[in-house]
Amino acid sequence: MISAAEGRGAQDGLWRRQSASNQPITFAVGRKPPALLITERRRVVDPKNSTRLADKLRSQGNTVIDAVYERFGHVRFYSASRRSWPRGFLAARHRRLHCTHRSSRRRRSWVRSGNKAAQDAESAAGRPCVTCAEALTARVPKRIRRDRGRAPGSFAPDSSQDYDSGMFHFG
Amino acid sequence: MLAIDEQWLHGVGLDPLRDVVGLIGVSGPYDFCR
Repeated sequence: MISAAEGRGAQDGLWRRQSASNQPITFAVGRKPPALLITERRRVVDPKNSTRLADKLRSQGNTVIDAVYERFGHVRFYSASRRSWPRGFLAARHRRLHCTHRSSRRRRSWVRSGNKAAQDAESAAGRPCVTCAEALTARVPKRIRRDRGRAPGSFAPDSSQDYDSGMFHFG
Repeated sequence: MLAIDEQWLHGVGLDPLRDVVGLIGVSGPYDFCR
């Protein structure tokens, strides 16, 4: 009789064996084009994904720069540049739907039309919401660690403890 | 994956080392097996 936990373990092992053939690190053998790997400290995708791939590429003699940033979320990478369309798109969407920080023309029109959610948002206007505060601090990302053991221009946390020391807090 | 696993570009007559200047990866799931 197989317990539920054993069944899940076997399933997980099977998934891992199968998915190894889909992971880029499996193919990082031999000469490859130069790579720039950027990741965030948060764990939407474990940042060790990037550092492991970078280490393997380096071990094959390839050129790799890996950078780990804090104050950056997974999605915010794409919206961090003022000039990039995703940022504009995300910011506009956020202001329309959620933001209590700034008053938008669209929301003011909704307030006039009696929209309750818009009225609530308008009444709280002036107080930066979490997302806006995050966006404001994310504009100038802070590179967290420079690994002096690597070639100039190469950045990586010194140890797994750097990743495990806790989440970034706004303030 | 195109830059690292050459079989895909080879399939269309290209080569990563010759035809790809570099790879930029942003928060990628490169190694989910661990």
